Parts: sequence; C-alpha cells; structure tokens
Amino acid sequence: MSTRAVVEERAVRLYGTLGRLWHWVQAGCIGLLLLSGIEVHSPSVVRILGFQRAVSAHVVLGFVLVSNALFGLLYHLLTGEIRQYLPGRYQVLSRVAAQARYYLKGIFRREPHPFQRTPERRLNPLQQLTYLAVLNVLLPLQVVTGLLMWAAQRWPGFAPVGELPVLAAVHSLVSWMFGAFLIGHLYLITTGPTPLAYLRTMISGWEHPAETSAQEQEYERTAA
Amino acid sequence: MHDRVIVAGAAVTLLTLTPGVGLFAPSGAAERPAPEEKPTTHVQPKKSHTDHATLIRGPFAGGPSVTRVCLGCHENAGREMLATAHWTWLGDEVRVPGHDEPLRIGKKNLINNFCIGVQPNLARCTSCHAGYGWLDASFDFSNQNNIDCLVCHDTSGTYRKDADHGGVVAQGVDLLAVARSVGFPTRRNCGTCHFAGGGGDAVKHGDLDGTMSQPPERIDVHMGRLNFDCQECHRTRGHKIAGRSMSVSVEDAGGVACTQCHSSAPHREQRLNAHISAVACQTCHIPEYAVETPTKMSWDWSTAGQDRPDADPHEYSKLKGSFVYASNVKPEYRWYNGRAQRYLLGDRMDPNQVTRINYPQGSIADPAAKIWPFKVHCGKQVYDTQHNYLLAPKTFGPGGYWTDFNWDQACRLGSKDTGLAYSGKYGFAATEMYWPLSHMVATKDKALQCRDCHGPRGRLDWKALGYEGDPAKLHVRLASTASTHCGQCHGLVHLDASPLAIPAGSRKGMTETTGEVFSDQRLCQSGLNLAGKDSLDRPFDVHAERLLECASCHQKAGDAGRNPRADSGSENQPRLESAPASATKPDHRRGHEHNNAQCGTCHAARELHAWLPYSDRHLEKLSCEVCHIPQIYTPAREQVDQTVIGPDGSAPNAYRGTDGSPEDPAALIRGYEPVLLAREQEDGGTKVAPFNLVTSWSWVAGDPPKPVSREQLRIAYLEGGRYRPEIVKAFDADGGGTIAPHELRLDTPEKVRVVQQRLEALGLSHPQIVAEVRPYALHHDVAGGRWAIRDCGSCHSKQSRVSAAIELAAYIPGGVLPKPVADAKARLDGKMTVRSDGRLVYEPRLADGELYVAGSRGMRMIDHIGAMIVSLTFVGILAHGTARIIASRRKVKV
Repeated sequence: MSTRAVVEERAVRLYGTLGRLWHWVQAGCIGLLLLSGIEVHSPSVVRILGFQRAVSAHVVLGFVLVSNALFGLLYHLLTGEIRQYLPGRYQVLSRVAAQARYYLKGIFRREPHPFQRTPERRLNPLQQLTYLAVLNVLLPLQVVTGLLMWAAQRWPGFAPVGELPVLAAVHSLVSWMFGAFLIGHLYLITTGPTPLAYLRTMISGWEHPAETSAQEQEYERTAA
Repeated sequence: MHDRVIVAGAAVTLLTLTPGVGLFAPSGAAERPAPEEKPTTHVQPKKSHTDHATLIRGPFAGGPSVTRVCLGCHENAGREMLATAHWTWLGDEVRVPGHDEPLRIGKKNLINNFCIGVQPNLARCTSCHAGYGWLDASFDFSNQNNIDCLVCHDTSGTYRKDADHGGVVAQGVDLLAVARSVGFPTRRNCGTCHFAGGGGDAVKHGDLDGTMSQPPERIDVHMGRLNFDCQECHRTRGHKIAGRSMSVSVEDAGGVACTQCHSSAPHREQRLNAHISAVACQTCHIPEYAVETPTKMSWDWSTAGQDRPDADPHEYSKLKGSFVYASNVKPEYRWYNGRAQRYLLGDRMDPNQVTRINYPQGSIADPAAKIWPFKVHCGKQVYDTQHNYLLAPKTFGPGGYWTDFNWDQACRLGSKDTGLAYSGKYGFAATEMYWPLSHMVATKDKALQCRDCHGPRGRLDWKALGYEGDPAKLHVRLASTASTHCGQCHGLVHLDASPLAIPAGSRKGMTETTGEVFSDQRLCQSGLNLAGKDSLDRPFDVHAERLLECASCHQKAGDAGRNPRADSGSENQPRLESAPASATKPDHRRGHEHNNAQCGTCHAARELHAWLPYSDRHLEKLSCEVCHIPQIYTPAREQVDQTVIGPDGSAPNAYRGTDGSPEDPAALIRGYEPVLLAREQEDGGTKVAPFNLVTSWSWVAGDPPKPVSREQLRIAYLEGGRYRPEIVKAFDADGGGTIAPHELRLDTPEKVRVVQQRLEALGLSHPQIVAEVRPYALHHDVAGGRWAIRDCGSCHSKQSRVSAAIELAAYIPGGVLPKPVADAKARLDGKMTVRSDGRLVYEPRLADGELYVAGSRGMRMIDHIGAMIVSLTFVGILAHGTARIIASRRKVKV
C-alpha cells in the first residue's frame, strides 16, 4: 500500500454537500450584504452600484440570506447536525479555557490543537459558543431589524418597535459586529495545519490527516 | 433521509424567496414612463453624391445641351421630371369646393394676391420653372431636353437663370463648371425659387427666406441646429418631392408631417399631449414668423402708377403699388383640416367683401381640424366690375402694366391669355391669402407657454375659433381676483411678458422674507442677474405657468383661517416693520396655512410617484415642497440687526442668495437651498418641509422687558442726523472719523456697553439685546417634475440636504444667540454653531433624531462604537498573527 493510499484512506469527510452549500451561500450573502450595506449607509465611502441599486441589492440579498438561514435551520435539525453547536453539559468552562489557552499560548509553541476535529465534533468549544451567539443572536437580530426596516419603509402605517431610528441603530451596530466576526473568522481559519488547510476543507469537505500528522510529527521532533 | 432534507430545504428556500422578491419588485423596480424615442433616430445620414467633376466634358452651347448629357446616364430622370409639379405647374385632378367636376389646378392656372397670375406673364414668371424656354402656350412639355437639371443640382452657387426669358440660362454662366459641380439639392437650391417667391427674398411665405441658407437655430431648429436639408422632411423619391402648399393645393395628401419623426404624444407633460387633438405642433412651436427678414403683409395694387422716386421700395413702387412689411410677426390662428377652399379664375366675388383667394377648411366641430398658425397676406387687386370676378392682368412685357401703366390695356391683354372675358370696366377689390406656417420652428424653450394662449394676454381669439371663451378658464375656473392685486402686499407677482426685475424698494411680503416670486416667466428670460441663468429654463413657479392665480389655492374665503404670525406675541416682527398700516389692512382672511392637503386637492401624489422607491414612506415623511422647491432663486432676508441704526434711521438687513445687495442689479444672484425642518401638520403628525430662517436682534429694556422703540434707538445713536461723538469713538475702528457700514455692528463688549449707557441715559432700565430666529415656510417657486429633486443622493449622501447647514448671520450682535420663536410650527431643534469666521450657522439634526435617512450622516455614535469593535478585533488578530510568525521563525532557528 502506497503512502498516498494510506493518506487517502485516512482522509476524513468533515462537511457534507448541503452543509457546505449552506455555509457558502451564507458567507456570500453576508459579504455582499456588508458591502451593499456600507453603500446604503454611507454612499460616499463605497460607490459601486449607486444608492438606489445598492438598496435594491441589499433587500434582495437579505431575502436570500433569510431563505438560506431557514434552510440551514431545517438541515441542521433534520440531520441532527445541530448537535455540533451544543457545547455539552460537562466541563464546558474548562474546555473553553483549554481552547483559549491554546490560542494564547500553545499555538506559538506548535502544540497540537487541544481538540481533534472529527466528523462528530468539528467545532472546538470556543467555536461552538461563538457560532451559537452569531447564529442565534446576531443573525436573527439582524434579520428581524432588517425585515422591520424594510416593512416600515414599504408600509409607513406599519409601526414596529421604536421606528426606524432605533431599528437602524441596532441594524448598524450588529453589522459592525458581523464585520468584526468576519475578520476574526477569516483569521482563525488560518490556524490549521497550514494556513489554507481549513479553507480547503470547507471547500472540498475533506480533511487530510496527512497534514495533521505531519504537523504532529514536527511537534514531537522539536519537543524532543 | 438525505433526499427528504434536500426536498424540504429547496421547498423552504423557494417559498421564502418567491414572496420576498415578489414583494420587493414593484417597489423599487417601477420605471418612469419611457420618454419619447429620440426623433433624430429617424434622420438619414447624409449621402455622398458621385463626384461629376471628371465625368462631364464640355463644351456646352446652352442649358438643353447639358440636360442631354445628364439624361445620357440618368435615363429615368427625364421621364420622372415630366410628371412632377415642378415641371407641369399643375396638380392631379382634385375636387375644388364649389366646383362640381374634378379639376387640375396649380401655379399655371391659379391667381394669388401677389403678382396675381402667370398666364399673361409667362416669360417673367417661368424664371422659376424647372425648364428652359416656357414663353407661351406652345412650350413643349414632353421634351425632356427642356428640363433644367442645374437649377436644383448645381452646388457651385454660380448658376443663374435669366429673369425674363422663360427661364433660360443667364448670360455669363460657366455651364461646364456648373455641370461638373452637380450634387444633391441643398437648401440654397430650393431657396432659389422658394425663398424668393413673390418677387424677392422673404416676400411671400413669411416662414421661408434667405436666412435659411445658413440658419442659426434661433431661426429654425431643424435647419439650424440639425442642419437639415429640405429633403429631410420633404422626402423625395424619383424626383417627386413630398409636400403641398396651400397656396396652390386644396388638399394635403402626400404632404409633410411632424410625425414623420416625432411621436404623436411627444411631451412628458400629459396636459400638453392632450392639446394635440386640437392644436397643430406648429401652433406652439412657431411662435413668430419672419424671424429676421421682414415679409410682405399687404400689397395694394390700386395705388400703382404714381411717380414717387423718394418712396422706400419696401413701402411703395410705381410698378406694384403700396406694401407693408413686417418681421417677428405673431401668426393668425384658424382651424385647418388639411383641405382648403380656393378661388379659381372666373369665380364670382363680392367686391364689397374681402375675397379669400384661399382659405383653410375646418372648424371646432371638425375632428380632423386643428388650430394652425397662418400668415395672412392682404391684397387689393384688379377685378372686372361688370362680371364681378378677379382679373389676371398682363404686367410684364410689351403692353403690360409695368411698361405702359395702363390697367385697361393690361386687363385686356391678360384676358386674352386667360380666356376670361373682360368687360372693359375694372376696379380694385380687397383679397386675402392664407399661408400655413411649418418652417421657422423655434427651439423648445421658445415654444408657446400656457399663458400665451390662455388668460388675459392670450393670443387666440377664442370666440372667433368657435369657443364660448378661453377653455382653460371654463375648465380650470380661474379665480376672479387677480393675483397682481395680492402681490401689492404679499410679494412679487409678475405675470406679464416684460423681463422680471425686482426694482429697489419693491421687496415686500414673501419676496422679502423668503425670496419667493409668483411668476410664469422662465428664469432665463427674466431680467435678473442669476448664476447659471442660461440653463434655467424653468419658470419661477410652475403654478403661475399653469395659469393658476393666488386665489386658486388660497380660497378658503369666509373661513376663520388666520395668519398665526400676525397675532403672535413675539417681541419683534421683521415682516411687519415695513407695513405699519397692517392694522388697517382689509379683512380678507383666507387660508394662509397651506399644507399638503392642499397640494392633494389637485394632485394625486401617490399615483404620480409610483416610480419613486418606497414612495409611501417618502410621502409620509416629506412635504411635497421638499423636492418641488429645491432652490429659491432670488435673494431672501437673512439677518435683521435692530441693535444699531443707520444714519437714515434704518436697520441694516443682510440677505442670503446674492453676492451683493438685493437692490444692486449687477450683483450676481445665486439663490439658496432652503433648510429642512420638521413641521407640525394639522393632523398632529410632522413632516419635513423647506424653510428660510430669518434671524433678528433688537434691544429690550425694563421689567418686564419691552422692546426699545426705533425712536429711542435713534436718539441713543444720533444727534441732528449724525452719530453722537461717543458712538463714533466706540464704533470707528479704523479712525476714519466716520462709521463705515461694516463697523456699524455690536461686535465687541465695549460697543455694547456704550450703547447700553446711552439707553440708560434715556431712562431705560436694564437694556439688553434679545434675538430670535424665525422660520418662514416655502410654498411658492414650485418646480414641476422635471426640475424637482430626483437624485436620491441629494438626501441619501454625506452632503444630504436633510442635514445641510444654513447660515443664520454673518456676525452676532452683542454675542447674543437667537432663540427660536415660541409659536413656530417648525421645530428648530438643531445646533447653532459659531464658525471661526464669526458666522452663526444652524445645523439641522433631523437625521440624528426622529428621521432616519439612509446614507446621510446620521448614526455617528453607532458608527464610532462599531468602528471601535472592528478595529480592536483587527488589532488583536494583527498582534496574534505577528506573534505566530515570530514564534514559527524562532522554532525553526532552534
């Protein structure tokens, strides 16, 4: 058996097709929503579509994102993938602390990740908490304020909580947070075995343990 | 399991997407009605003509020898020409009103009220015939060699026909050079005859003359701006040229129409398109004819024959009699359905009535008829007093009137050629000829406006056209009170044609406080020195342009409507200071408070703004005026400083919108953008509306404080018409011994103290300066759709009008910041800031508070917090990343 075959054999399918589709549609929507949102919010900073078209694009993208989120929810519920996001009941704090310790210390010493990625548990405890917050707090908040703003402008008689000045303030603040999340997210995906390894996995769905093991070997060698 | 997930997911995606996109689409994607297809797309590119310079060899003995060479290659051209009216001077058979049998009529057998008839005068008249040698009835109309190709196709400009030998080539023409120059006919070729009809340039048509060889666009937009050749409209095929002249035709089949290029509903304004069923395009678009060169308006043959060598040839000629010429003539208007009545030789006429040689058919009851513009040419010409018909006298040649000045002989000789019996008794009778106008089409900014036809100075005689009266009056019900009466107190109302000016001392009412002017005049035609004036082809107020009067909107007569400003308890009232007689004003209380409900009385805003994204939202939050009064074009009061007093006892006023004083006709007027404020509505809600802000400073004294009167202030400052010495000492900064206008300001505590002491010396206790800022709502100077704000960016941008600051004062007398007047319906909750140059500026904060305007500079707090979160994240990952890189290097080294 060749080395390559061994590697292939040991390759793990971390993400299914639908899961990846959901992720990438969401990623594209959020990226474009941020861009068109900036143009709507501040046409002098970003000038791509022009104000009027930027508004239209933003609204359409918003509806695509909502649809995708509903689809994602259904997918995660029906397939049980939802469990991936639940940190579990025991030792949550200590596991989070371990992951945090890794990012603050271990990563500089090329220690292995405290939690190995497996199809059953792809996310580390810190990720689980973050995604829970993003998907269950930020995203719904943004979707609800966005929808209300849209409805309030379409049907002026429709008077949701706080009217536009409040809705727009929340919507703006949350979009800044999405921006911050995006920056952190993009950075953290470079913390894999190689800077692009996680990105490749998210595209193909497969993780190649060869790389992992290479890194572990490296660590063992230097440690010794 | 997996399949079910896919199906369920796809279904949910589709279900959510469909209503989402569907709901969204009608709101943003609704388009404005498509504008007219560009008429110039119908214009054919100019064809290049074969260069004949090398093809043609001479020499040529005469015109026909050239024609033979032409026909040698252009075999069909001769046959085609023989069938044209340019050759036959006769049309096809037609039914002429009043005559039973079909007739062939044309130049050859008709008379007019210029040189009258061609039959007795062929040798002279046929100098405009497209042929050679038509001297008498023996002319061979079937001989193609007699065709004159060159008169139409010469491009050298040197070809001439002999004036009085039947149209043969004039002496001295280099036929070879002319023949080698041939090309497509130009305006100059056609103009050889058509500009010079009636015996000279511009005489006959009124809308065709020599200026059209090279016309500027102010003479004719098609030939001037677009450089049209005649054939562009008079489409030509096989030498047959489209177009009919009512002077020789009784119908217009095969004629030319504007709709060859323009749509039949070409105006953006539907009210204009509604005119098209009753008004010819020419009526509005040819406001005047004979634009530059005078045309003949009347010709009286009866005075001919006198020796008056000193007479102006445009007023009298011994050969022809008396004339009247005129230029820039307003047309006369008649119904015209394309057909005409025609006087034929031998028709009976009544010498005591004006005989119409031709006359347009149609009436208000005729659906095919439209109101057309005409040149009416009046004549007085010879007729047979026994037979009562008009005669065609021989004027030219041996025995003709121009030779012997003998009418009897001229009529006798003429009757031989026309075959019409002459009794031997002649007289002179009045005649009229109608020339419909289609040339000299003006640029659209010169087209007639509503008021040119409707209203008191309209140019149409409605009764004569069959109407009961001005239809606009009948349908719109113009109020009987003349707007100009209102203008005597309330501001400038200018509804006549003289260039609008605001002479010194005439500023009053709203023109003073806001700069609003009620006028139908276009800004570019006013007498004001406006910045960018040339491009401002909008009227001062679209309602004035559309014939509305003040009372059309301010019509709540008998209503207890009041002007809330007039009885407010505020301390000083700039708007009243020039109207001390206000107490004795007549009680004509009307609804001065004009709101959207009143725009809505006539306008269906929702339907009209379907194109506007989120239109309901816009209409809910904005008053109509926000977009429809984008700019005020005349100066408006800005600052009234009653803390000081001029040598003549006046308070210095400062104006916005002008580079100098509003009284100075040379000062450039820039106008101003109104400031937007939230304004209470009658229903209790608020809407954003445009305002001018006027700030005023004045002295009060006593307890409770009462205004210091103008007289008290005068005594405080002046003594015997001059400033008191202590005032001069305090105010005269440059030591010039006098107080210059820019020094007459309470801009230092010392000056304030000196004046305070003076007022205290007059027995006034605790004199102090008070100041207020008063908003004046704008409702006039309304722009129609084309000039209204359409650009989203004018509000949805960093430079949003919603947050645009407006200057309140160039300086702050006594350092006292003005307070908003208590009774104002407009909310002045913005920020007043003093700029480094001492100016006081009002910065609205609408967008920070109740009104969210996407794209404007609102939400600054949120943005600061958000930017901080993002920056911290970024700095964090930057540090972490750097540390990782450093760490990885160190490991490798170790």
